[in-house]
Amino acid sequence: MNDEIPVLVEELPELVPATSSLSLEAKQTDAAVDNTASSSDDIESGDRDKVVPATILTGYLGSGKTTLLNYILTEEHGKRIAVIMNEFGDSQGIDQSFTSVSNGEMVEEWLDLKNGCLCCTVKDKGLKAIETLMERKGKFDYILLETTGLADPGRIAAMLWSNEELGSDIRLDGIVTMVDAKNIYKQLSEAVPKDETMNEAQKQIAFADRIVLNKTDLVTESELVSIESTIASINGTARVSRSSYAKVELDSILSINAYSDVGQETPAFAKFENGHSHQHIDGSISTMALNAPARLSWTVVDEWIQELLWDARIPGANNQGNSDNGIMEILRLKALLQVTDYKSVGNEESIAQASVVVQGVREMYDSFVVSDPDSSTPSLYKLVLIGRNIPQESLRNSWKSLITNATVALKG
Amino acid sequence: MSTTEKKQHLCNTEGCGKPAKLQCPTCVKLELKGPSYFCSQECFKQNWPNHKAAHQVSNPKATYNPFPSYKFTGPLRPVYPLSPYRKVPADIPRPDYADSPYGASKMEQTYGNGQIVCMTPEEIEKMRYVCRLGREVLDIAARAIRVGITTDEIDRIVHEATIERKAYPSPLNYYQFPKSVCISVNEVVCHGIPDQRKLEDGDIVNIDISLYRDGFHTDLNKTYFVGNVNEKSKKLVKTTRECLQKAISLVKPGVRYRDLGAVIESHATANGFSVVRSYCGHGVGKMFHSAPNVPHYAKNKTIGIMKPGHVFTIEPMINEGSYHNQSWNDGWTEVTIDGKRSAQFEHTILVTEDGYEILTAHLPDSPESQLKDL
Repeated sequence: MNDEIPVLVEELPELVPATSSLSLEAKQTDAAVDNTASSSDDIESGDRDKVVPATILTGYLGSGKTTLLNYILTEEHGKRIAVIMNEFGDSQGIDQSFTSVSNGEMVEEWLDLKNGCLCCTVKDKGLKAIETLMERKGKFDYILLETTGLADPGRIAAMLWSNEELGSDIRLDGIVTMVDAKNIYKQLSEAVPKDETMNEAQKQIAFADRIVLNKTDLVTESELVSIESTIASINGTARVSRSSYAKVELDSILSINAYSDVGQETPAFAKFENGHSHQHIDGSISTMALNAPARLSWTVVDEWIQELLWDARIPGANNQGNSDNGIMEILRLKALLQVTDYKSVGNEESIAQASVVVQGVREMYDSFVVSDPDSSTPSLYKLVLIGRNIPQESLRNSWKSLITNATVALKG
Repeated sequence: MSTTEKKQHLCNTEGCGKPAKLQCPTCVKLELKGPSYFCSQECFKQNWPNHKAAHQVSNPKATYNPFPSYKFTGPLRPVYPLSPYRKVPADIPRPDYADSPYGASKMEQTYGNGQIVCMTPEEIEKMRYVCRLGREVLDIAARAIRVGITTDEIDRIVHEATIERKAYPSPLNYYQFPKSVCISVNEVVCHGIPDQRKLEDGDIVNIDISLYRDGFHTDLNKTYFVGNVNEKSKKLVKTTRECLQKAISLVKPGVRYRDLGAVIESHATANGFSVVRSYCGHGVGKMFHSAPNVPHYAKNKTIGIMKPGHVFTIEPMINEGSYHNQSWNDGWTEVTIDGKRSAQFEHTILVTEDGYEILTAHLPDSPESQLKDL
């Protein structure tokens, strides 16, 4: 007969607003709730619908990411910025460390991410944990995801981007890459890891929407020009800003809306032109532009993009889209096009004539209508690809026949 | 988020009367409110001989709510303890996650997001067989539904019917899911854990069967009425099944997976309901879950075009109220955020040369549909 007297437990609460069975975490939460009591009230009433932008920050170890983060966090901007470090988008089910910093105050939390998802893997556990945290502590104004070297920024971006569909409060804003001016050539020429197709520095530059060329004080002007030209030969669409000690105009890297139709101006990529001979370190990653001088049928363009991205094939060609050098890999696709009968996914109605922007990250893409930038400059309309081993000649031919098939006589 | 005002409790020891903030753990488990408070371990120790009797008078087959402080969104509560882990005979082949740490599937993590698999005719034959077995098990579970049966008892029936067919119940230990079937009652959207709760007259209950045999998984589910169900729930369940049927009827080579969501969402919305977004249909076969992702909502960026030999599920979850969901502290049970009801139907579907084949379709002896006369 078990007659041992049990040890009393803490009064069990209707009283504690614990959302977790982990007592440690619950205690931390209590403290946090007390501290931010007023702001969480605001949240209840005010910004339930607020969508929080998230920037993916990549860069080689030592490129100045941490300096940039410290710079951002200590600047007087009055915003609650959350910085998420460590391996993100990792589905291994390991506890991940989470550091939230707002106005100098630091809170470290361990998020319990052990549980998987039985039904499908759309919802990333790291993201869910951040959303849960925001529910408890009130929304942040901005989220910075700092990724470690091995993470593929494209995969993380695609994950965040598709997460928006789930009614998430988090929106992918853009990918920012820090480049170390002093060491970038060495990093670009490093061996490609086993089972990978690109090294870390190549990947980080290829996926970037914005590049911060840091440590400019350590190299000469002519070296800088040469680095910029190398960057442009890999990724000709990302805007590059120079900095030393990671001091950079925050407006140029945050809230850039690279993946949504919010406040679109003429997108930066539309100004990209195919260059001549840039200084190449690894010729296999490059940017190419295909001009679209005419108004195209959206249905035909849409199918062309699907064949290229989903089947990894030169549309209309018989081969699997491999160049002599190896397997084609499209990393980014960006387009500004004039189309007819535009229909967005899930939308019954079509728009007779529209200017649309298409954004693609690896296999995933989306499109949205933009106000006509400047129809007097037809050279703005184009489709730009960043990728590895792009068989430029066959792709150009494929695009040419698309133009022939899909061109619609301009009305009026 | 707001903290409720603290109620002062007094020590239960006679003549003590001090304020008490500690509780007897056994009372907490049994949810005995009255005599559970004590001011100190000392006082508790003194009172133990009398106090322990309080545990005896209560329900000898004690069940309890494991998350008493969780803010439940609706009337449903978990009823613990869960029954012991059910065993699968050693001669039945197991999927890779059955014995892995955290129940993670290495295969899914490596290949799950890759290209959509086109099955060979031999693989399709195996898939047909395992899907048929899945259907049989679902029908057996369906026949067991009655007012008063616990969902744990249905889990036992499913588990036994599965191993009888020399198959492994796919949910068991998948990312540490503790049971052999997901059973989702009323406001549970999906992934309900079978427990000691008895089905009640008026409930709607979804039974989601997955099993693994000859190297392949099947996946199907269906929502059933328990006793007399109100009109709103009937309409919800009927609409949900229609959503699935409408989406299936679109399946054929050349169709984009992203286009299935629109028909589901428009039918749900037309009937005043909403579509759950956090959970999608998925490829199924050698892996429990793999590419493609099949969202049930209209505007999505999902990748892929249907080709003959693709096998995937469509499994819309349709809600009476908000489409948002949240999970219980068990990490699995997904409930609607407003506590209103949710229904779901699922089939495993093969893309054929000119259309589709529902691999988990009704068998001639499947129980008659409860929606027949609606």
